[in-house]
Amino acid sequence: MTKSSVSAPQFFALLYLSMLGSMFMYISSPKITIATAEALLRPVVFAVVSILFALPIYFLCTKGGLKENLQAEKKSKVYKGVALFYGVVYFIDALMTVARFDLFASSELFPGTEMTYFLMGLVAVCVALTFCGIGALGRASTIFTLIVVAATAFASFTLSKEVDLLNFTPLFENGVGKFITDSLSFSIQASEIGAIVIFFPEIKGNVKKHYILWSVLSALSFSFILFFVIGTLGAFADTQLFPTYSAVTLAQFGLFERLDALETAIWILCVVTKLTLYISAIVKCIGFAFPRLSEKITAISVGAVITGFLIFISGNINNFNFISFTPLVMGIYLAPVIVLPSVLLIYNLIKRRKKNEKIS
Amino acid sequence: MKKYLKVCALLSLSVACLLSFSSCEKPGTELSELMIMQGIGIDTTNDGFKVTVELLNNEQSGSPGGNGNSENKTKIYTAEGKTVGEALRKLITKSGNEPMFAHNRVIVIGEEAANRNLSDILDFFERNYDSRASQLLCVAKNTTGEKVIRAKLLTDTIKSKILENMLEESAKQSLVPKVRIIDAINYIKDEASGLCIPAVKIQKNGENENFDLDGCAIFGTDSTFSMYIDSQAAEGIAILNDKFEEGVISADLPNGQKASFYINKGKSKYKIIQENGVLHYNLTVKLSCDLEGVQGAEYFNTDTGVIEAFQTAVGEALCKKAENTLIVLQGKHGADVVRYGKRLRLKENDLYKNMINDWDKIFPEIKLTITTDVTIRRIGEETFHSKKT
Repeated sequence: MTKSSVSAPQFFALLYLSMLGSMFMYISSPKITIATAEALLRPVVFAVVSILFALPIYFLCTKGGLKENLQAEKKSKVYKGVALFYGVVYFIDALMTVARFDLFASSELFPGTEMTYFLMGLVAVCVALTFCGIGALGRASTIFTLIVVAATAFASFTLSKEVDLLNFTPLFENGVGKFITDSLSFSIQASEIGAIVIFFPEIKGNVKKHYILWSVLSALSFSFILFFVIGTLGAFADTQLFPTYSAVTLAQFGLFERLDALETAIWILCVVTKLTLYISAIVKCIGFAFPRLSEKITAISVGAVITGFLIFISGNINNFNFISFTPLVMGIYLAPVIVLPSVLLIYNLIKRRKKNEKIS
Repeated sequence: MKKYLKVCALLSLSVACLLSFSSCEKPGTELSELMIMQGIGIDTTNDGFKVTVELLNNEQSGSPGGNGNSENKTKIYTAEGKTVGEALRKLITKSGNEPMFAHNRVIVIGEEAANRNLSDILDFFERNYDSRASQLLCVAKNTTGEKVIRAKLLTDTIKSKILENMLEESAKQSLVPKVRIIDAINYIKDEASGLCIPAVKIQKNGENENFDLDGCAIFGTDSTFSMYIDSQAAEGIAILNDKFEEGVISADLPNGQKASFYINKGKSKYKIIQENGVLHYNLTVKLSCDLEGVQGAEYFNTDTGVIEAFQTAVGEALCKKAENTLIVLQGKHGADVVRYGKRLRLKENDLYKNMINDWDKIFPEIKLTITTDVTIRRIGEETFHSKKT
């Protein structure tokens, strides 16, 4: 493996960590109740949706000949436009990740403390990590995944005696329709899937197999975490901004109390991985659109712009609400996963037809 | 040059980590400048709340066993405000230190405050970032939260720690339920459930005072205080709540002897059926217990007979205890603090939906049947044939 190539298991370990990061800092929409039994089934819908919605990406990567096209279409305006669009989407994603972590850090880690400087440091670390390339990030992710999974399993083990089955509700109490809409809202948080298109030439190995494995494992992990969140907190989970963290605050093992400090330290690995993935994706997209730009300068500039926006968002909860606005969240999921790959597929198809017409 | 830069970066990161390895500290605040809360008493005033807090006397508590001077281990302050939050923040005017709620052990709700809506009192603790959801709750019976926090105990110790231990251990022994902020919120949010919070009173002990856990305070579905139940009734709540896993039970043996047993393992399960419009809750309890002591001169002749008599007696005592508690809870000021409504919702949701609007009328009519399966695990170090003369 070179600096710029990553094996499929490593790449999906990266995506898995990124998804766990979302789960640990999960903020439920006001319209969606967490403390229900069907919340445990929402990840199943997530797995199905992730597999179905990824079909355009699958066709683009296989039948669309993405690897060859990325070489051949280096000067294509459509490809460059799509690359820039991807960059914008992942910029918003990166901003959402940092803003959510800012809210988490200033609410739970150091309540009432201005965390902007800490987050500037975090963004700087992520920018520096992008210099190492996707290969190094992928390899680091495999180790991080082991650490995070072990820590989560340990916290769950210590929470097991706190689980009360009375905290659950009857299955489909509010109807199957509500379950489906809630599950769809829950499922559209994995915009990272779109990064497969961006890094496809660098991924070595069976992407399809590992993607399905990733979907299933992510869904199982979500259900596992939600079981402990609901089982320990019950309806209280819905009153909490970060229910996963609230559940972890109850974890204790023998003489060791307040294991949340240990857990949050490990969760930061997920945030770092997620943010680095987004910055790497943005740099790659800008690099495709403007090949003459230096990757390092682009990464630093992206980091600086993210920090600038963060300073604007950080001080006011309304700004945070704006970037968590449901249509925006939906947009930044659908664009990289369905819309942009479909645009490329259609473009390739039209181009191929024109070529065939010319030949005939 | 590149290598040199890397080493510099590594060193500066290490120094940054080293400097931030300081526990129990708010950034920029020394440990001695924090009000580390241990217990909070909440009472009401004409237009708001009065809070009384027990704080660690940081300088004294910092050294093992104190620093040898006459200072107490804790300090107590009181402040008032329109809300609990405001009153707690105003404590800064008394101590000059910044409040830290993360280590608070127990919240004592004064009797008058208990008569107000509980949600108003708990909202601050539910919302505050620093406050832990696992803090224990209790009600000051026939007194104020302030008096409990200011109680003159015999030893110079952290009173809230004693209270916390009492609440924790009593809950472990199934004497009173363990009620944390999470539990209280869950009960309040459940439209059918009432809430039961352990009640603590102050007992005179010469010139000093003691804490005494004396039953529980019952809150209705509207989160308002409705009545106290005594210790006997409180002991049955764990059985009805299917949380009777440890504790002592005394039983009357057929020959008139009394015996006490230590329950070391318990498992229970409810089955709900509706017959002629009446809900029947069938509770099956499986217990494993050790014989702790038998009173009286008589004893049984055969081991098998003794064991069987013991098992039957434990089962009967358990049923009696649970039934008596349910009678109290189904009484005029009672409430569904054993989550029968929630159990029905989980098992028979359609039935629950039909009944929920009249739950206050339906709960008192519920019939309980208990089936016990008791195993005597150990009999202690004394044999049955060690006849006492």
